[in-house]
Amino acid sequence: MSGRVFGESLLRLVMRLHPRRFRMEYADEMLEYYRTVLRREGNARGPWWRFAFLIRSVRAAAGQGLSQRLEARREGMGGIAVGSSGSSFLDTLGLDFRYAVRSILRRRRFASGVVLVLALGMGANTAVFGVLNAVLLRPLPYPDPDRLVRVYQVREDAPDEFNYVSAPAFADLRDNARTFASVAAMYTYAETGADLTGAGDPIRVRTLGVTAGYFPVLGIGVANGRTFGPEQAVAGSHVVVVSAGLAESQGLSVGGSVVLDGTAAEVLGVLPAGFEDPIVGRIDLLVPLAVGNGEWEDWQWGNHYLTILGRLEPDVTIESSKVDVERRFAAMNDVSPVEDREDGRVVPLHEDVVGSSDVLLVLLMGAVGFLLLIACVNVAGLFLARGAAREQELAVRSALGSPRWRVIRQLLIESLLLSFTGAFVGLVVGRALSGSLVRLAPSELVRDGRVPFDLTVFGFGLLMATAAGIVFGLVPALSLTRRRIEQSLRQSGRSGAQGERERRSRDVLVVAQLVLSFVLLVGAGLLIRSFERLRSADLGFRTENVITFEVNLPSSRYDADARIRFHEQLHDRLAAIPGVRTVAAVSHLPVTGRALSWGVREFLGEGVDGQNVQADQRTVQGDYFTAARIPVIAGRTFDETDDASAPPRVVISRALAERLFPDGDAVGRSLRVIGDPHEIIGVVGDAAVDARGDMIPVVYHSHRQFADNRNWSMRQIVALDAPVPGLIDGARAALASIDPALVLYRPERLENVVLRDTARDRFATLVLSAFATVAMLLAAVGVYGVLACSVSRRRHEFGVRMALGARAADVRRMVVGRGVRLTVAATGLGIVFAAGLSSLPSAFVFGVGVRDPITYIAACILIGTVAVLASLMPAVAATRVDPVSAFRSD
Amino acid sequence: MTKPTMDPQAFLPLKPLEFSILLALAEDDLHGYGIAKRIADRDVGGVDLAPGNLYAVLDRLIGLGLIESMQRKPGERRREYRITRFGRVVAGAEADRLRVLVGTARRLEILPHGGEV
Repeated sequence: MSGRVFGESLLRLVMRLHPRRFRMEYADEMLEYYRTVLRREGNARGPWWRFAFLIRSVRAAAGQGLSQRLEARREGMGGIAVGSSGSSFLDTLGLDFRYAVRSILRRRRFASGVVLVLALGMGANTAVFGVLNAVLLRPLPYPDPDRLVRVYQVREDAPDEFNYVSAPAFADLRDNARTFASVAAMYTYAETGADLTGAGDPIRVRTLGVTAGYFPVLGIGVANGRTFGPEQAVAGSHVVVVSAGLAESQGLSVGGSVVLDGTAAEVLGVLPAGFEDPIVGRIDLLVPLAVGNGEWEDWQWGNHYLTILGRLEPDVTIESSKVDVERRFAAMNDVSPVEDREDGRVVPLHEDVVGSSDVLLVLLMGAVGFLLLIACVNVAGLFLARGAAREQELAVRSALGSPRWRVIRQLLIESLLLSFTGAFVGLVVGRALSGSLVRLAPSELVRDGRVPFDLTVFGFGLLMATAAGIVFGLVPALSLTRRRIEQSLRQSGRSGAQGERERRSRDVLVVAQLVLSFVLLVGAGLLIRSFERLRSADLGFRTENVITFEVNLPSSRYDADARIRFHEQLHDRLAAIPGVRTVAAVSHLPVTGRALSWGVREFLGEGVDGQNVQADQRTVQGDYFTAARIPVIAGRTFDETDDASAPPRVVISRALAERLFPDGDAVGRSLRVIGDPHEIIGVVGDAAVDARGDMIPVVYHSHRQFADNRNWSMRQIVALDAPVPGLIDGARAALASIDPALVLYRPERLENVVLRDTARDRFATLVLSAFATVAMLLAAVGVYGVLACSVSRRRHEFGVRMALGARAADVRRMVVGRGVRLTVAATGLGIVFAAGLSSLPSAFVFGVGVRDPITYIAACILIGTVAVLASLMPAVAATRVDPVSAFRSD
Repeated sequence: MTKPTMDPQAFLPLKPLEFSILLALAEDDLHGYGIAKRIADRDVGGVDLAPGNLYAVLDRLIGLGLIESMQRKPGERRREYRITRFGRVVAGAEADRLRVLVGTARRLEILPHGGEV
């Protein structure tokens, strides 16, 4: 569009502000004038003048237009907005607006009620949407985040089980995949961390092992210093990149050194302030990860322990990168010794990071959407009830010639005004609620705890308010204006038997609220029931009165023998603390997810192997199975004889035994683990890998025998008969008596570890229950409102009935009966509706069917009780009608 | 257009733009751009009067009966405007009012160049 055409269009638009008469008379001429001036003067004076002239013209049109309107109004009419057929839409809009404000201010109590209900609904929506916006809609904080992907490895016979990636597969992708600008591997078990020895006591820091590709993949540099190059990503290079926070708190600078697990390392660079890893979040230190190159042991192909991130080449689509990765895995399958064919999966990183949050947030968003709908319906009911009282006013306006659309518009302006006020209050409330939601939420949901208030949230609020205002304003407006004018006037406000239709529409609104609340109640009920199941799920081990903590031994000072000796010493000193029954340690606690998933198979002789099964590896110290109360099913557990000098021995879990030896005795057979045959000496019960009680195959090794595999970061398990006050202090003292430089890290009760894994479910249950409660209260107010209104209208009738000898109980029954009828209808509809929507919360429902009858029955009873209670008050009011006064007011 | 039979003094003082328009039309019948051009020529030079301002004043002057719009010629988008007899009277009254004021200014010796242009 050229500047001239744009200018004219703009001017034409603004000229609509002139009153219609003026426009008809002069609009064409004014545009012609504008064109002439530009043509005759503009060329000589240049583009800036032309632009300035456009601005002046627009401003003049706006200013003159508005002042002409005001003048016309001052001359034209006084007071009430009676639509004259000659006035245009715009002419009367401002008038209706002022009238609406006056009308709202006249009924302050009504207005504040409406605003309150709406603020409740909109506040909840703003809060949840704020979190949703922060988590789901915000792009990852790296350059060109759309080009970031994560790569998983899957077995072709289990294509939905996304696994970490093995080192050979990573190296192949890094060197041969063509669609990636760069590929990085991160060590997956980052949470173990390391001990940093500085000036004071050693502190525990979060470390992440990364390959050199990490920096180009994420597109980050260092604030100062430099990053790892490929030459550092080999075993034994002692360099680190530290976070800005750690550099500040520990006074570290580039070129300085840190002592990490007893080994000095040079600080190569400092990360930019606020940097977070996309997967694990806040980290203190990046250390080079040596992955190896070229010469692969057979077992390494089955060892999945790397998290792979990639940055796509510009203009490469996810699809072509998928094809590329699949081609690489096909090539790898030809050289891999693992006969299970493997394949790769490419997932956009954003999707991968928010993946676990989105179901929860969508569920919550659905719930608050319902809540807002209930609030709207509730307000619509209020409007309708009040509209009945206003119908005379409306009828007078109609009679004076106000067209129906003017009356509807008038009512809509009122409802929109109220809606926007409610939205504003809701935004304020919602901001506060967002904060609480984030504090309550599991950390995986909102990692950095920030819920920004941005234009998206604001726009959402605006949209919500407009939609709500139209929804709850239009329905009553249409219903009220449909009434015949003369009928209203003739009745002159008398509360007779009028308005059957109107009564019905109010009934419909109440039923709608009850149905919506019922659905929310069912949803909350399902979550509550499944959370109960979750808490009582059989995890296969004891959690009560067990304390756990972690001790990390620096490899520089502790070789495998020293680590074995240390753990036996610690075991003895902890066991000596009064009240301690059993002490043990394990490399990875149950219910904290999978770790070290290796391919294992039955060893039937050299070159003859059985079927491959992925099994988690755990290393245990002391009598772990007794301490955790995991039953021994067959054979024995480890004892002192299972040390480095003995042939390799393992204990396996029941799930693994059933997979590998479905019909035979596992004890005495042999298992190939990382290449070597291991004798199976025992089978133990399953211990859950998560709080839902999911069981997976596990291979247990004895620390005494397996200590040289790696520096295991052992979690101590201290089982008590009863809580022992000061146990942690005692444990610290015991640790210090062995080595004062060690850290007792993350002491906590095993119950809390389990609880942490249920945080997400607890959060969903809590929030949805809160929403359901609010919804039910709103619905109760709705029922109360309708019945109270009907009772006040039927005062006369009740008076007559009482005068004619009706007993109070009869009258009460009449009123409550109506409430009950509405509730029964609503419940019936609600059951159908809820059953239809029941697939939504299925991701959260555990151990109960989504159509769990007990939940439905409980919801019916609850909503019935609340509805009856809500109708009791108006019922009692009905019996208090004094027949004499009812007649007198006739 | 009803002929006002009012005292011209009741219309005073005129706003500067109103007066300028009346003076422009006192010479010729003109269309919108012609009016603006004539005012500009007598004043400082270029036309930069915004259409909204010009036509709002034209409309007001018509309403007051000081000017009138002529029939549009066929095929023309523009109309010419003509000053009414009463418009001339009012413009004269305004000029007289200004003359008295200028006289006062001269007597007080606040005119630059002693009032000689």
